[in-house]
Amino acid sequence: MIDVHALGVRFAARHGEIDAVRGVSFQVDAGGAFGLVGESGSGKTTVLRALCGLAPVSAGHATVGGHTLGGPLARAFRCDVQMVFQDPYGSLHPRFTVDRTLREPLDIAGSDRHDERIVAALREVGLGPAFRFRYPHQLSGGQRQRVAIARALIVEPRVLLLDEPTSALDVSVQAEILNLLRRLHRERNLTIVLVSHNLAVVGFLCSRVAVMRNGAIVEHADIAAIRARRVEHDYTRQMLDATDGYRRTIAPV
Amino acid sequence: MTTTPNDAPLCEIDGLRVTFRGADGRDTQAVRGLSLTLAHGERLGIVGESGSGKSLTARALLGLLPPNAHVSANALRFEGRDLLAMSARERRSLCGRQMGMILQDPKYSLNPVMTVGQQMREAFRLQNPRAGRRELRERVVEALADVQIREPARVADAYPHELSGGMGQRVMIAMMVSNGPRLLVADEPTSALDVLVSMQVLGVLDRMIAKHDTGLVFISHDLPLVMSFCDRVVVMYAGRAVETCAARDLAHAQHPYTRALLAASPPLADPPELLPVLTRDPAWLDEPEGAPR
Repeated sequence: MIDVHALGVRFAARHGEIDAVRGVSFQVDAGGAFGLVGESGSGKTTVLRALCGLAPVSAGHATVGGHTLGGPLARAFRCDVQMVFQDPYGSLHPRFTVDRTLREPLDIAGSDRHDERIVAALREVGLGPAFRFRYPHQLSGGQRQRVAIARALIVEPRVLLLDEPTSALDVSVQAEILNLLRRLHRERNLTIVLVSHNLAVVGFLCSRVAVMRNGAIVEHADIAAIRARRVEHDYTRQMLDATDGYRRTIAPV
Repeated sequence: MTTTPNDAPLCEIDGLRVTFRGADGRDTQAVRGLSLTLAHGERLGIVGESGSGKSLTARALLGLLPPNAHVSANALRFEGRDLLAMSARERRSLCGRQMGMILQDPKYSLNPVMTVGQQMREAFRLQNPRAGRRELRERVVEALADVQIREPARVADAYPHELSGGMGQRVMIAMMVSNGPRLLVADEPTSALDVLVSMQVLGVLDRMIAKHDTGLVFISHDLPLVMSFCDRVVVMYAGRAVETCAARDLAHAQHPYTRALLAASPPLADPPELLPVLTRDPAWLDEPEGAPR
């Protein structure tokens, strides 16, 4: 479903150019879930943005759901590939009701039965029809992220790209969203790429993981190997150690 | 100023209430009768969901609540001194000298139009008003080196936007802890940072507060992190403490709310099919802390 080969993303900077992503390759089968982890600035979000056409492909090639990236994209691409962003406070239009937020992708996709689909999409993410005419500021963070997921799913995509979908949420709300994503992944046979810096979150949803650093992938691993802490690269090991919490130098009193 | 009895706790909060009056004239109680103490040099974690009143509690201690907040308490003491009886001027003079605060995101808490060195000089001048330019400059560079910044002289001349998140948070720690405050409030100090940088920043914080014997109030919604960094933990729910325990005992916490929060973060080793979701019991709102169950 997703085939990325030697992908490079280059941005123009004030002095010359910056290679944000260098030589990244991975494949995800239809219905698979793939995790990208790494530190801030490692290029993981840029890879995700390139996969939905928001960042330029400057080297290598990438196909997503049968569409080749790098040239003009067909309208069907916008239905096949959808993204959920990190910050549900920034990614919903503050002056659009939930109804209008969900109607816009339907308009663009040119689909029919708008009202029916909007109600169904809200039901699917666990929001009642009462939420339809509310504004984002009337919703909690978790409810907003549910709306963002509904907006992505309403055009029935085959590929769902998730950029840190729970890092702005409380741990109790994170659990609800992760359960929702896992259910949707299975029921709809979605292909998922999840970006996160939390290995436990990636482990909950994904079966394979790539670890990124400085714009390149340093290690590919199955989630079973990560759980068993069988990892090759030092950086991956440090990330694993960090999931155990902080090690105090001075014993607690 | 009264002398401080040595056996008095560093901070004492008894029955703290913070109330906001809404536009419709109705009161919202954000903190409802919270009590806690903090010993000298102790590290106290406050955990709970967003809106449980963690930050307001710490801000009430520092006197940094928004003007529309109404604070009342049976007692609010710092080193035995009654904070509620102090004038606003006295309260302010404690901040930056005796008390410090580190916020979540250094991008917003550092002044964007001053260099790091300029704003640190401002903080250090509070402690030592007669220090000359050169002396202050030396202290700034020294303080930056102390938080493991490799090129302290260069960073002192940098503006906040030129620093990474981890560097910015180290600058905040250098600015706040180098004066040797008695109390430091760290409000989600690492939630804007990625995992490895968090660990480095916590390492710096750990060393600095141990060096100055500073009491720490560490606010976070990351229970495993608090468990590993603090000595004692207060769990807050809807403006009240539902449970207080030693940090190492948090894994065996009794209260169903605490247990639900712990279970909600996915374990790396053996995640369940579905994560347990928090169901709130209305009884949690008003039961006394440590009620038998």
